[in-house]
Amino acid sequence: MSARDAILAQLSRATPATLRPAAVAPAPVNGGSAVKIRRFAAGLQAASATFAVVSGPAAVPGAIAAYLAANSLPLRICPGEVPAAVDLRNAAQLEYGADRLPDDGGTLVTGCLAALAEEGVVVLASGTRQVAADAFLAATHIVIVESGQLLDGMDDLWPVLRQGPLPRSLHLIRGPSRTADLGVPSRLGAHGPLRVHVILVEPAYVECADPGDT
Amino acid sequence: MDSRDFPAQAAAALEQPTLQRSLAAMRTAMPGLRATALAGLPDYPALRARARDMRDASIGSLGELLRAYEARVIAAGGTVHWARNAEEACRIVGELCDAAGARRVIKSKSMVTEEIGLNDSLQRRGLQVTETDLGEYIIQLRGERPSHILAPALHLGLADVAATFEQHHRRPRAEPLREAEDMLAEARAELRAAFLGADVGITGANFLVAETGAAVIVTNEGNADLSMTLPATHIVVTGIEKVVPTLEDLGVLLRLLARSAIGEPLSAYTTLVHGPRRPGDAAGPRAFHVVLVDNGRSSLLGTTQQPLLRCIRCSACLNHCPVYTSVGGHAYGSVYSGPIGAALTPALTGIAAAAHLPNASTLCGRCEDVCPVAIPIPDILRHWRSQALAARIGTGPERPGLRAWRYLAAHPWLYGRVLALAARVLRLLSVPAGARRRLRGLGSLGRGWFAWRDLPAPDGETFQERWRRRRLRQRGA
Ligand code: SF4
Repeated sequence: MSARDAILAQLSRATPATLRPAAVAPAPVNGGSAVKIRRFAAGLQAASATFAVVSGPAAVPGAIAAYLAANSLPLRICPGEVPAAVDLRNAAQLEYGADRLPDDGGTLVTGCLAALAEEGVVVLASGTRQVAADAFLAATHIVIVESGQLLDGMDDLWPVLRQGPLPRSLHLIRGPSRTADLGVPSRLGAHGPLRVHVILVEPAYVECADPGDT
Repeated sequence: MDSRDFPAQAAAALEQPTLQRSLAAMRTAMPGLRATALAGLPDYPALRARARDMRDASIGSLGELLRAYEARVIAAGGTVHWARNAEEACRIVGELCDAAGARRVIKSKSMVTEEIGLNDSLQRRGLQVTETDLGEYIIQLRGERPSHILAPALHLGLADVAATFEQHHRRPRAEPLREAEDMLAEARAELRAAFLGADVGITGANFLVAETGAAVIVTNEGNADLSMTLPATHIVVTGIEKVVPTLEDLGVLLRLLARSAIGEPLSAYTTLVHGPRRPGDAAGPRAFHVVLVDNGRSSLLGTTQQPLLRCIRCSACLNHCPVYTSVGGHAYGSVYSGPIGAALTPALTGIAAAAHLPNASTLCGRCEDVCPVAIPIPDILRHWRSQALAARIGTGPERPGLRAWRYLAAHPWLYGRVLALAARVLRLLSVPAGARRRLRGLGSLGRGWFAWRDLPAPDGETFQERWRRRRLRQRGA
């Protein structure tokens, strides 16, 4: 008998249990979009990521440049797959680097598949661009989230995944890479990025309360 | 280290200052972090009940779920292997590495690969194996075992890490390593080279999803993502009990896992992987294998220990256990330590080799209270204790003691007499302390106890005697 058959035969002895139709896992209470943005910002902050909101795609390059300058980082970026409306190639403020990351890490800019307000998470998918590998090799990862991509929480992600073909790999990223193996507090930049910065493109931005005010 | 030597190992652990410092920090910090994170959930008790029921239902139909999962992986271009035991699992992984022409293997932390002794087996085949979780990497350099499910190097301090790196990293150094930042930078550089040069990446899986064929891997460092994306071959090695039906079911466990483990809503990286690189993909392995390991799990089905299969290895029971947080993981001498280790190890290795572990508990019940899938660990420990007693394992003083106790309990008259005598003798041995008397020692008996604590002395009278006196007084009145 093959190992497969032997194990499956052994498993067939199990008594099937029925899943009691419990109340579906209670969902977080959702607020309007301003509340959602505020929770997203708080979630990112708790995970040592940083956050900015801009009112339209044209403002993205400026926000990237401002972030890099504020952190004394070179203005050179390595672009991954970004939203079509965002034009980084012709942005005067930025230096458009090669498609490959430099050996010392560099700055990667990507879009995302979705973002989860509750968990402070951005969701990246594998695809035709080097995204999945680079998102773990870069020193700084800047993620652009379009307003429609911001979901309330994890439970809203699963239906989105079922709508399209499932990507080979999906990465739920919550802040920079970190480790607790060198004592408390955790250290950032264990293997992957030292910095994760999220830029939300939200046309209704002007009407929101200050997203940082949580 | 062996589970048979638990008493000596536990005594030694109490004398290790670095370990004791780490354990004290954990004992103080973790319960609060976990409680705060869970309080942020809208209804933790309901979510926990849901998780428990869902895990039970999944375990009840493991065969069906694994078949569905397997079909998904095959459809995505991957291969699924089944291993009855540790030896079979190691052989399968070894042959896959050979077939890939591999020389260098990188691994992300996985308890199942510890359980089956994969690293030793691969190294015997001449493969170079590098652990990439920082804690696991450190203990690999030192030739040690993990002392905690999630924090394998918990027993080490910064000075230990510095000494280890100075010994193993051959790099010019102007001054000795002192700062954590410098150690991290050094490990990052060493491991980045290992990532880029590896032929095979091996990861565990925290969960498998039958609906989509996903292997789900959770880390804080991002090392699993690199291990599974850069090498040409990715091998997932995991236990057969890890499978859940749907993405929503996965969501239930993900919402509990990191909150219970580290007090955060999610770990830094949660990854769902569905197979090898597809046409047009820019990255990812060309070959994708999953090794499903039984190694004693299926034999738990239908027994009172079956609930152990619900475990999601969050380590909350370790972090809250008065025994684990006093002696750490190495004292247990087993791959899995703490309450879950004490309950699971006898099932994996047999009670004879692990008879001490079920006794490494005060049965206070905190493990069950904090377990996100409500595993009745104290009940299972009691089961193992009675198994050990019935099999006459451990010829310690407990057997005659228990026999004497049974005789006394079955003879009330004698019981009353013995207790009355004991109450008087203990009072005679006690010393005055304030308004009451306290017992500070009993000759050579219980010296370990009395070295640190004392006991309130009995009043010299038993409850029954006092009751009788009271009744007489009432009647007289
Ligand atoms: S037994 Fe429960 S608390 Fe302990 S590791 Fe497993 S799931 Fe976590």
